[in-house]
Amino acid sequence: MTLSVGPTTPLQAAARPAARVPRVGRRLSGRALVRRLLWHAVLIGCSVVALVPIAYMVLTSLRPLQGALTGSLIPTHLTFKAYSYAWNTVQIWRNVINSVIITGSSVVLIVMCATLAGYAFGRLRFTGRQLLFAVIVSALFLPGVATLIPVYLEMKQLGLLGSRFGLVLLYVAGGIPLSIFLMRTFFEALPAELSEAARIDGANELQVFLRIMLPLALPGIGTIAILQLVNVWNELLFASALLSDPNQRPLQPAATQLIGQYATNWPVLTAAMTISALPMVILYVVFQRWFVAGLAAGAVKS
Amino acid sequence: MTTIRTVRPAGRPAAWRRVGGATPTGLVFIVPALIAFGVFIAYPLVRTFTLSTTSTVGFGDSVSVGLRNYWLLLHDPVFLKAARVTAIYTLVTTVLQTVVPLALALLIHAGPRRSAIIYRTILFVPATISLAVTGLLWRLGFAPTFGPVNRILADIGLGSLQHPWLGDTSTVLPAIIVVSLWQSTGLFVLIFHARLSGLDPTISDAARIDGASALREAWSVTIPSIRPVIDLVVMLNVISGLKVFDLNYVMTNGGPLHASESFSTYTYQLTFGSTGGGVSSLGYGSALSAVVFLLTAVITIVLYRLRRSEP
Repeated sequence: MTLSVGPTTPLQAAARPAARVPRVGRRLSGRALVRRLLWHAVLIGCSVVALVPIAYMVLTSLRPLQGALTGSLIPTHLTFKAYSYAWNTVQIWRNVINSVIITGSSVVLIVMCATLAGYAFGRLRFTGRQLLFAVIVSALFLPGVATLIPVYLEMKQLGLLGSRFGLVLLYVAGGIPLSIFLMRTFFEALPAELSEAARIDGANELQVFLRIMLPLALPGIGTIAILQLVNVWNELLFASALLSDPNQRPLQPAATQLIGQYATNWPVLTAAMTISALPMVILYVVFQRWFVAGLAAGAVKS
Repeated sequence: MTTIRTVRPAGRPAAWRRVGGATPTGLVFIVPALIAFGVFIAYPLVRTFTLSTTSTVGFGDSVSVGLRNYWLLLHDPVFLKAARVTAIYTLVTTVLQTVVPLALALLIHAGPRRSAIIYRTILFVPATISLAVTGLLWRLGFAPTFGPVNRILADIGLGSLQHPWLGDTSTVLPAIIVVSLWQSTGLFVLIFHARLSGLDPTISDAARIDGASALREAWSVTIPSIRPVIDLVVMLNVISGLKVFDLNYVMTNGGPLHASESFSTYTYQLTFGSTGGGVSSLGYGSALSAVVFLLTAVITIVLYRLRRSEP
């Protein structure tokens, strides 16, 4: 089951340069000016709704540990005490390390599997190509809960229950349908003449792939890497189900679990939440263009 | 040097790279992906169905019970409740999370491009925050006494509207839906706006010259031309609605009185928790998983067909 997105895919649309030339320096008439101001007012209002809850989270995490619940909504005195408490006493640094290890290795493995397979599905001909592609991509619609119990039993049988490595393998399987789908699109868009020329020069399939096609597909690889980074970093269901030891857990289930123990200690709780959320916000700010292209194309999974 | 002749790789038959011929390399390239897919997706999915015909109390031995688990499901009030909650949640989030982002994207698109990109970027920030942290944040936000939502209501003189939002069976689901809207709007605005930016501006200019108002132009010209993306967003919303887990698990754990229990949280409770109707059976949980899978598959295929049959 392939997802066609009409005449242009969102990816192409996102990558396309601005169709409208910004009209710089043109003075607005009175009515147009009022309309423009109203436009800004509405969108500033929406921006406030989007950002205020996040600002509240960060501000609460900077409050003193005592009296955080009853003081004014906007704190008068800021401190990093909650962060040092969350880092050293709650030992959330262990969960940060777990998240980094799990996310990093999952993304590397997903990229390796998906680039190879995406190339094969996009550029090579072999029996069962269409069928295998359709089967793998149809897993995009599979709700995680549909395989939760067998995956749990399987991990137990393989001795991988409670192991971060087991979770990584699961994330690789979960990440490849979307990544293969996107990588195939990228490889299909590359000109055929290049690989033909290399083959005529006597290069074998692996050489064509590694030397010619892979370097050209780097933007695509960046896109799937960033998409999977976010997906894996933010995953909750399987991380909660398969890893019960707090020392092994990544950030999302760890932060979720804290609310039981720190229900009234909001500075510590929001500090842990900010630590869990911040890396992806920074990533978004830094890699915005890839993010936009990737999400527009591959929002399929979220 | 310039003579044109048929060149073939040394020692290999021409059929090797003929279109339609079999290239063994292709299969070799997909082996790693196939193994991962087979072991952690395909095999578990098949096993969900085989397990669903057994009764496995705890994590011990199992006995075959045929379709009894499915029969039990139909008489399980919590399952019926979860079915209702999941259906309402999916329907309402799909409508809201398509209409609101579309309206915002059209609004953003109507302004100067540079400011438009800035607003689009700001609106997207909530979408970078995980659903788990989003759920935690709003669980604090809706907290009865100290939650900022209730405190702000009191501060602006609407103290009578203070409410235990997540503790009341009638407000818990709307509250979770609002949070979902808050988190996902930016993503869909981005998708819609990316497509709108790719439209040919001369068409909308033509509509304007013909005297169409902005609303009329959006309804008759712009929306029909981005129809495929609207369909995509609807589909994404339906799929994520049917499997909703993170938000209601973190905010309410399905409560109070299962008023925010979805298929996914109920399956999780049956398997790993102790609150799910007193049953702790892997076979029973698998039957529930199987039903969720079949429902999702049928709805996805129907939506996909509907999309394709359109002009």
